[in-house]
Amino acid sequence: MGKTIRNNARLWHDIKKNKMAYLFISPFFILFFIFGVYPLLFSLYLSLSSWDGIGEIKFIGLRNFELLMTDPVFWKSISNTIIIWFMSTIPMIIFALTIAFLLNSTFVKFNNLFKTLYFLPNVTAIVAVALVFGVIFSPNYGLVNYLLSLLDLNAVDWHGNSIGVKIAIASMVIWRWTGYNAIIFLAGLQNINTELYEAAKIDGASTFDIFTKITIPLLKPVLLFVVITSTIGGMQIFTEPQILVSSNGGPGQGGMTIVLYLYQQAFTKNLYGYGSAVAVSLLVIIMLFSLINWTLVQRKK
Amino acid sequence: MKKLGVSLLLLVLSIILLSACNSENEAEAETDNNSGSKKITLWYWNRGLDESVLEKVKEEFPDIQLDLQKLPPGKDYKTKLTALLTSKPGKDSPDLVLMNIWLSEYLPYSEKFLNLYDYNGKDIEQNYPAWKVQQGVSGDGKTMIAVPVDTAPTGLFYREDIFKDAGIASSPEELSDKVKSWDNYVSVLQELKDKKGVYAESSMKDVFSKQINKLDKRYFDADNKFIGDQEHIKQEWDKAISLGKDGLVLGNIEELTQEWNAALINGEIVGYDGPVWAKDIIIDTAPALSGKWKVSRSPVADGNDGGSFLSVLKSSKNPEIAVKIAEFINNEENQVTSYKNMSLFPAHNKALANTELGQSEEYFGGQNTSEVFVESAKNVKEAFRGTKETIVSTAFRDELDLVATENKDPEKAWQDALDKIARDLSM
Repeated sequence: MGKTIRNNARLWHDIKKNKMAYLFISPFFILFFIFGVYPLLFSLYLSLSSWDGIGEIKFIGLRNFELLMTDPVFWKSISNTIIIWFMSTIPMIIFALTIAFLLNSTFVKFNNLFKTLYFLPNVTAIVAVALVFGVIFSPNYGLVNYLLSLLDLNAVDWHGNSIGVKIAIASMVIWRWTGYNAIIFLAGLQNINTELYEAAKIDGASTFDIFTKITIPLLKPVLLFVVITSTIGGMQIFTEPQILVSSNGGPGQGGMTIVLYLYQQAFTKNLYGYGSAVAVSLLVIIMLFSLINWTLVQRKK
Repeated sequence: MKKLGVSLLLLVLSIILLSACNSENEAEAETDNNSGSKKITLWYWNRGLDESVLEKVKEEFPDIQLDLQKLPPGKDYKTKLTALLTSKPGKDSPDLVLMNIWLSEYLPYSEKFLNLYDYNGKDIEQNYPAWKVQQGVSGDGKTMIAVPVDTAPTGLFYREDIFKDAGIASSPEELSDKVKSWDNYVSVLQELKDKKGVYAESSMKDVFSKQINKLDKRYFDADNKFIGDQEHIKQEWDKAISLGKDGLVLGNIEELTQEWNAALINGEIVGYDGPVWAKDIIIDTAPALSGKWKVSRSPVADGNDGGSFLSVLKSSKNPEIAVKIAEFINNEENQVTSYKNMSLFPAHNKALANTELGQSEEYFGGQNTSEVFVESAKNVKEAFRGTKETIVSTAFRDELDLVATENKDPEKAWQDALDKIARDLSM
């Protein structure tokens, strides 16, 4: 006890000594408390309450979570989110890696032009992207179904078909993030010492061997970074399904993701307490994923 | 010491910069106090009110400093309004707020709004159709929270060339007579499909929602008790299901979406039982079909889909003037102007009777469609809207989706919708 008090006193002393420095970093912390910490705590409190947005906030304990556990749509939204994340992340990493590898090789000309082109989707407004993909994946008059009909294949209901809607959403994510991750991979590739490649070549290794035995292992930290960021992004996917199939997640709710469900409950149905309970569950899920990631990294060390 | 001086200078500069953004407002506020004029703040969304009318407000009330705040429309607006009502009113809080048909959600909190019955409300309500006024009155009939702005009566938009060709009707009047009952409407749809292979309904869920809009009672009674499980709703559900089963809806295409637009341009959708504001949408969507459309009366009964209101907040410092402004914006003359400029269909009884209201429209083959909507507006039924309408309609529409796409058993879907509603209402 005494030690912490003394430490506190020292901390205050240090703060006073560096008043100016603290003053200059304080705006971030003040804003963070108002717009970060406070809403977080408030939504924790709301998740234990029943509130329609205006009236009295009624404390109801764990009732929201009780209902949540038996809510089939909630569980569906979790599995949808994970499936969409899977369907988008794995192809995206493969594409990004391939593109980065090509950009890094010496035979590709106009390197910088390609870098810019691949990065472009990432700075495009997401609503515009979703609208265009909406037209492409339109079930009755869309481009994809037209192409399928040319190949004598059956049209797919890209809104109502549980797999179809996920493919449409995943393809939006892939389109948007492949270039971004390719640039990150490229940075990682350029950090690999070329001597390693030269030595391997002298020893007679094939390009494939070089890629799997040298490039991939040395890229692991970058790979991990990409997986973690895409997990966090993937768990929070919202705009794509919202524009494609609107707030109810499409017929059969195949496109209902966790955040979309949260939004529908809180802002469409005015069930703010229940929506907050969904948000808290999302927090737990993301923490769970981070934990898995973390243990994986630890073990590797 | 020099370092400290530089940091201090930086700090001072940043404070000056930040406060400079605000100084304009303060200057205004000061002159405000000096002249003793009153400030009225109004919240509205783009195309929600006619700006030329708002300019006239400034002329009509020269002593009032009118602060117009145009906010982003849709859910953002509603979220802002909700947040406003839960927080303490500040200096910039609005006096007047524009509201949409969702104002029913705010009726349980009518104490946050000025009760217009204390401010000449009985006289105001004489000017507007009862069904419209009633949408802004609390369940016990004691509190009136809004002045009607525009209404959204429905009509049946249809492709005259195709209806004529199929031998169904050669004039809007003839068609109006032909679709007066549900059974007659169904046989018109059947004829369209048999003779031309085209449709006037695009999904079961929209058929259902539109039929509900024609009823005199909806999902809740005046005490906010759920009555959506009763016969009057089940009937409409069954109608939607049977249309779907008989193949008289195009598919599961929601109205006014990209898909629906495409079907309209392709000529697969040749009719639309929709609100007056859809006129502009159809004109923009299918300019090539100009001259081919006409409007008859809605099938079965006239309905209403949307429409807005102006409310005065309880926190207003100048409630009397705010009410006067709300009345002025919505008087006969200004509502006629708003209709001409912005297609905001008038609510005011005299505006509806005004001969200047409509004119021959080229897109609709020279028809004066306003006449149809005026008749429709007179006949909309009074129906109480509950505060939790969205919960109910979402559940029903979701289940109709499943009937359409997964062939779910309609009776099971009905039961599942009711279970979902019961659950959501208990929260």
